[in-house]
Amino acid sequence: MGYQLNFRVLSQYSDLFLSGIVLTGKISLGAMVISFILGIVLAIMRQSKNKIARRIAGLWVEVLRNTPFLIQLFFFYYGLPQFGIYVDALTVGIVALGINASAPNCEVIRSGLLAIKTGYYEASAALGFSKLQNFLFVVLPISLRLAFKPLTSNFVNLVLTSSVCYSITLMEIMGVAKTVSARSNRPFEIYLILLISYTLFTYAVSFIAKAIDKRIEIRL
Amino acid sequence: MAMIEVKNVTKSFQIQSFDESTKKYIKTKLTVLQDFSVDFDQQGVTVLIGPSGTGKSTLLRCINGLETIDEGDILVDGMSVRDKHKLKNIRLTCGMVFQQTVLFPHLNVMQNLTLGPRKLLGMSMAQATDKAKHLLNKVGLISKEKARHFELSGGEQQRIAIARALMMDPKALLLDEITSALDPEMTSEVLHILEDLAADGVCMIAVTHEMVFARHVARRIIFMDKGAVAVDADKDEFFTVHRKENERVASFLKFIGE
Repeated sequence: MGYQLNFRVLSQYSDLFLSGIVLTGKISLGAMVISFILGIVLAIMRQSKNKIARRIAGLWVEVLRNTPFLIQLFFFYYGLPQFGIYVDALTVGIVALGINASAPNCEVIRSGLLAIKTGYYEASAALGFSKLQNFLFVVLPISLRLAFKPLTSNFVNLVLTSSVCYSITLMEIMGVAKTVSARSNRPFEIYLILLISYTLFTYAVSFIAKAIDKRIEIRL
Repeated sequence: MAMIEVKNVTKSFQIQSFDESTKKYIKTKLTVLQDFSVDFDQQGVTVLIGPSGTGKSTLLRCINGLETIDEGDILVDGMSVRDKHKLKNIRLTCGMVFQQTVLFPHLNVMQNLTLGPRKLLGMSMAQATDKAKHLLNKVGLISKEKARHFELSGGEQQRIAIARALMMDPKALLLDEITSALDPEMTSEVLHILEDLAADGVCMIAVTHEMVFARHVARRIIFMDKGAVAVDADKDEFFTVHRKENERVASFLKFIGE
């Protein structure tokens, strides 16, 4: 084999890589927050007594789970301007990814809600809590703790999916890699760096999640 | 006026069962309480006994508003359980402890005790903590204030649940077979706590099969049978006169080994 690994050529692009990592972080974090909040709202809707709310949330989840993220992203990025809605690529990326991840988040949070025994409802009702107070102080904290582990795996998935955002001109780490690869003609090294970066990235997410999980873990 | 007035209450449940001959599910109505009336004063301990399925637990749950009633009315301190806006006050007036211990699993013992008073009675954290410590002392578990529910035995959990109900300063405690899921040793530790509370003058209405408790602590005993009050008597009278004269009472007491 005559191929010589050469990382030195890439050193001139280190700033670009760094900015790519920062952008990936921004997109992932923003999308996590959006998907988490949407996930809670959707889970409540899916469990509600209101038929319309249930239907809407059900449709939302099914559509998002059964379509590719790339198409959802293009739908928002290229589709919305036709209605005169112009949003910058970063916002579209964050929101689209957040919406995409809200579907699996909804399902795991719902599983947490379903795991709550009626005993807890009765115990808090017997103390005098209203339904809303019961939900806020008892049901939601318990179910979010129960859902935390699968939520983490959803978040890891979200970080990985964020790479698709390069296709709407976002210069996150994948976008940077495409550009650098074209300029330097060193795809093997570049994508090796990318694989390692993503591994470290998701490892960091799991590491933080584990630390949190240790503090909030519950047994029913 | 009695503190709790149960007036001509009828309560039934829809039960779904499978009919083998038609291969269909059929709904049947099971009437648990039929035109049921009884009064409770805010005095001492009243024990509800009787065979399974006679509506003892249902009665307590109706008083607390956990079950809705079909007919009649229940007044707690003059407030009707039919009035949804009064439900919170009714539940503050009557604390309840269940057979299955349900300490909130995401909170430790201290947080379990202080959650209610802080959110519902507007107590400050310091006030609530003081009160909780006082009650934990009373149930003998002050050393466990930081413990989580899975670090406690069943009896300890039940004692915490009693303390949690007392945190709200209820006028009466409704106890729904709170020792039925416990082994004899833990049962006796819970009953000791209840005896202490009774000595302090806490009003309790208890569904129980613990005759020892009934003998030692009860002031009044209500024997329920088939959704109605069969005997409503003073404790001494119940264990002497009614035991001799009432065949149903005699056979029940004999059956549970009294």
